[in-house]
Amino acid sequence: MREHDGLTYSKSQAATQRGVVLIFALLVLLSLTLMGVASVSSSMIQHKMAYAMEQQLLAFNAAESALAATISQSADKAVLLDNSMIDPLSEAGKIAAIDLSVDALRCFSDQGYVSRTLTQNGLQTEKHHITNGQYDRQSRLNSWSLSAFVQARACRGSSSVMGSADIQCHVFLIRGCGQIKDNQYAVANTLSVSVMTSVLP
Amino acid sequence: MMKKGNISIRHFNVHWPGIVLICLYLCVCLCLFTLSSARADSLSPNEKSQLFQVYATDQLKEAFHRISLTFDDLSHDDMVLRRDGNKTYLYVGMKREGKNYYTFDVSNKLEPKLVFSIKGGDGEYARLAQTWSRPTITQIRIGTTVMDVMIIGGGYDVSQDDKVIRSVDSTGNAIFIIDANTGIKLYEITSDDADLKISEMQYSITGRISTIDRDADGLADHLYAADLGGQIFRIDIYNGETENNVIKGGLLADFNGDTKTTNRRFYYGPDVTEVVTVNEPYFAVAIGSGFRDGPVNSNVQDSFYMLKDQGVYSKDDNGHFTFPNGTYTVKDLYDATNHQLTSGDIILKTTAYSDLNMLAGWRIDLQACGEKVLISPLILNYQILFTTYSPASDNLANCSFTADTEQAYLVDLLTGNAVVDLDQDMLITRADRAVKLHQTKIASAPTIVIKNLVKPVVCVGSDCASAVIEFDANGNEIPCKNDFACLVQNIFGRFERIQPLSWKTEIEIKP
Repeated sequence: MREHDGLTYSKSQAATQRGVVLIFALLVLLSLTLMGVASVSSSMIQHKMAYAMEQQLLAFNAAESALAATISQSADKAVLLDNSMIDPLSEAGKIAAIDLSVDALRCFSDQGYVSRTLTQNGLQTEKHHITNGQYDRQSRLNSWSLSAFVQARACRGSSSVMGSADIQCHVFLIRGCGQIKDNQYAVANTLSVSVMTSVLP
Repeated sequence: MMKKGNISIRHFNVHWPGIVLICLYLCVCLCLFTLSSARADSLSPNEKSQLFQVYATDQLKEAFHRISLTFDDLSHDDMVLRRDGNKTYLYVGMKREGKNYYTFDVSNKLEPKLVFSIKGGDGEYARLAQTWSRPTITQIRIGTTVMDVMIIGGGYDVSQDDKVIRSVDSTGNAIFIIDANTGIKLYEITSDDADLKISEMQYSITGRISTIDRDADGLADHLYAADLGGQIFRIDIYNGETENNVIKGGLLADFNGDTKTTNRRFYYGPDVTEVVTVNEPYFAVAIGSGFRDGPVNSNVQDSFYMLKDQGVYSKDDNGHFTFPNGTYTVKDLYDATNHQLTSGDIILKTTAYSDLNMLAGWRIDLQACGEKVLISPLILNYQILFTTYSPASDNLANCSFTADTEQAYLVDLLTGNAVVDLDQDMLITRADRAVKLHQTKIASAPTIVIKNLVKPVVCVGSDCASAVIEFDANGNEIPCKNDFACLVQNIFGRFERIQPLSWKTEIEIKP
C-alpha cells in the first residue's frame, strides 16, 4: 500500500527506482553551470572587445585630431599672415620631397619631416604646437602629426601650361597618429592634400 | 652795356629767392615722382617683373646694347629665367628687332656672360623668322638621356603685315626644340625637310609653345602650338624613345576660313588644362583670335574658342596618341555666343545642351566692332579669364563712334557661360560675361599672384583685384569695389587654401 500523506515508500517501490530524476537533475545543473560559465566568458570577451574598441576609438580620435590640427594651423590666417611664423605645410614644402616609391610616411620613425603635437591644451591659434605632451588629461594618449611634401603639379581645373599661370599645386601627405600610451600600436590616418602656391622663375 | 650788366646783376640778385623757390619746387616734384614710382613698384603685383628688374644691371643693359637689344623695351614676358643649381640663365628673343635668340649667364648679375646665340634666317635655323615666341625651358628624355631643352615657335614672317587673306609664309612656320645649354637644334617640326613633317604647318608661329607635363615628372609630354593661319597643332613627346621616335604630331583644328572676314590669326599660345568628367576625359584648349599687328582692323570676325582634345586619352594600334579623323573647324564647335544654355525657352535650352554635348567644344564670336583677343587666356578653377581689345572706331566705316575699349571676360570652361549675374538682373546672360577695364591700351596677359597666402590676386595689365570673395572679421562679405573686382572674385569665391584629395586609415606597429 502506498501512503500518499507522507514521504514513505514501500521497499518494493524503492527497489524499482533507477535514479533517472537525479541524472536529469544533474544534467540540468550541469547545463546551467555551462550556460553560466559561457555567459561569464562571453561577458568577459565582450568587455575586452569593448575595451579594445574604446582604446582604438580613442586612438582614432587622437589621430583625427592631429590631422585636423595640422589642417587648421595651415589655414590659420594669424599664422599665414605673420612672417615670423610658419604653418606646418609651408614648413614641409621647404624640405625635400618624400619619394613614395621607396619610402612611406611613418608615425614611429624620425624621418626628418615636419612634426606637430596636440596636447591637452588643445588647438590654439598662433601656436606652433611643437611642445611634447599627452593629448588627454588622464595622460593616456599621444596625438601627433607628420607632414611631408610629395610633388608640385598643375592645379586641377587651372592652367597646365608650363610657365603660364605662375601658380602650381603642392601635394602633401599629412599622417595623423593616435596612440594609447605604452601601446605598441598607433592608429595612423593619412590625408593627401593640395595647396595652391605661387611660382616664381 | 654797363647798365645792361648792372641790370643783369641786379636782376640776378633780386631773383635769388625766386630761383631758390623754383629749385625747391623742382626738388619736391622730383621727390614726389620718385616716391610715386617707388610706390607703384612696391605695389606692383607682378613679382616677375620686379624679379627681372633685379637683373637689369648696367652690365646686362650694356650686353644687350651690344646685340642691338634695349632691355627697357622688353617686358618680362619676352624673357625667361632658368635656374640650374647655382647658375641662372636668361633667355631672350628680339621681337621686331631681329631673328636671333640669346642666352646669358646672369648668375653674377654684375658680370653677365653670353652663353650662346641662335641666329635666325641662316643655316639650320633658316626658317626662324623674327623671334617673337617666348621660349619654354623644360626637359625631354631621348633614349636614356634627359636633355634640357628650349622650345620656340618659328617666329613672325613680316609678310604677315599686309596679308588680308591667309597665304603661306616662307619662314616662321616651324617649331624648334633646342638644347638649352648649347643652342644646338635637336628637332625641327615644319611642313617639309624636317625631323617631323606636318604638311599643314605653313604659317608663322609667334606665340609660346604651350607645354604640358601631364604626369608631373618634369618632362614635357605634349606641346600645343597655334599659328597665324588660325590653326592649332599638337605635338606628342614620347620620352625614352629612340631619337627618331621621340616626337609625333599633327593638326588639330583650323579656324580660318580663307576669306577676308574669317582670316583669324593666333598670335599667342593657347592655355590648356585637363578635364576629367565621367564620360569624357580631355584636354581643354582655350585660345582667342586677333590681328595683333592690325589692332584697329575691323574686317575679321574674331572669336574665342574652347576645343576638347580627347586624343590625349586614346591611343592607336601603334601606341600613339590619336588625332581627329578630320581637322576640327568652327562648325565642330557649339556656338555659345548667345548664351542659350541659360535661356528661359526650355526647347531652346535643351537643344543647346544637346549640341554642346555632341560637339568638340564651344566658341564665342566677339560682338563689338573690331573686337579681338590679343593675348593668351588664363584658365583658373575651371573658368577662363581673357581680355579683348576693341579699337576706337571713329575711323572705321561700319562702326559707331567709341573709344578704345579693353574688356575682361570670365567664362565657364565647360560651357562658355558667364559665371555670375554681374548686373544683378536675376538672369545670367551674355552681358554678364565681361566688364570694361580702366585701361584702354592692350593689356598684358592675365596673371595670378599669391603674395598673400589667403588672397590670390588676379591682374590683367594694370587692373588687379582679389580672386576670392573677402569677408570682414564678423564674417560679412566685403563688397567688391569695381566691375573688374566683382568679376574676378568669383574665380575662387570662398577660397579654401587646402584642398583634400584622399584619406585612409591604418594601424601602424611600433618597430
